[in-house]
Amino acid sequence: MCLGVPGQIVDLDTDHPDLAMVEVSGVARPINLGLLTSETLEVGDWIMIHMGFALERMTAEEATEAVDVLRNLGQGEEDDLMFTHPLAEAEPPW
Amino acid sequence: MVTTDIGVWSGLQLFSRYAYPPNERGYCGPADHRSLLEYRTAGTTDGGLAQLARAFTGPWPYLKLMSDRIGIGDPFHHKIVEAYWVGNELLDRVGALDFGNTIEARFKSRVGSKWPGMAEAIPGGIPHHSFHVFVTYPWVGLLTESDRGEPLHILDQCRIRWGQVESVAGDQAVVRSRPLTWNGKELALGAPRLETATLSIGGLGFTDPLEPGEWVSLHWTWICDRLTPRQLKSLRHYSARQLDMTNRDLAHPGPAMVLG
Repeated sequence: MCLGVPGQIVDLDTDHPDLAMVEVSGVARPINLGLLTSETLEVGDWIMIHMGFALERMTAEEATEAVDVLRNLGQGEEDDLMFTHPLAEAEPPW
Repeated sequence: MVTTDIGVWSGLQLFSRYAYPPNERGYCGPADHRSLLEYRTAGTTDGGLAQLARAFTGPWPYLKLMSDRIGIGDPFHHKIVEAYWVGNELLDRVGALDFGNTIEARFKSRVGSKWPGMAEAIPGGIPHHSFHVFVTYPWVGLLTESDRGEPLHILDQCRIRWGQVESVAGDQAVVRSRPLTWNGKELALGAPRLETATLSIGGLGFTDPLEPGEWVSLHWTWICDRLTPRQLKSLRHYSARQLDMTNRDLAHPGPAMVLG
């Protein structure tokens, strides 16, 4: 499974203080804020998300850096795949 | 390069069994999780499934490492995929230095300030999924920082569990398995208890019909595969190995863990 990804809080659920809608790569999804009880989070705040939970608060700069790392990591591994994977034009074995 | 290697074809099918449960929850891999399930149900393996599998960036470094170091050409070969999710003798053929270098190269930039603590837990590690869960992920550290139940629950669900089928009813099965426990100081496996697991959704699943008494592997709420005696022994062995190492690190934290 993947490591944490940064997301930005777009809505807080006043009926359920542990829940918030968080935008990750342009898609809003419900995230549990319950592990960050020491933080006062607001709409617009950046958080690191893993397995549906917010694990830590991030600055905007940290979030941007994390997004860049993920983007570059994906590109580097795509380059790996282009050179090594045999299934680009494989025929089934039967 | 073209291959007709049956090991690669069956390896991709095996990979989809274990990767689907977290993918379905949106925790990893591509957004199109239903395609993964449909590939598995249809038994089809083509470039599309390879691309889906390749999008799981968590397992990839471990699979690639084994492929590079053991001399099996494709990271999705069945033996490599089995080694990662379940465990087999390939794990013991990866050198400690190679493993440590791979973990640093692939994950250091992504874990940020957590890296020093993670680095202290690498020695003795092997490219088994349990390492990813108990070391690469942050949840073991959250056990000691929070009195909430979520960290333990996530660790328990995210590891590959094993259990024995008690009964089957439609899309679900009752399985007897041992849960992960935490007593404030160390992790352990608790007494066997019954859990209800998903066999299929709308008839789409990963295993042929199961019978009571069969041993199976579980990931999150899904039954992934029936386990042979060899596979069951391996999964138990490598899981216990990582659990012991994690408890050792919890009992004797290195400087990074102490200093924070």
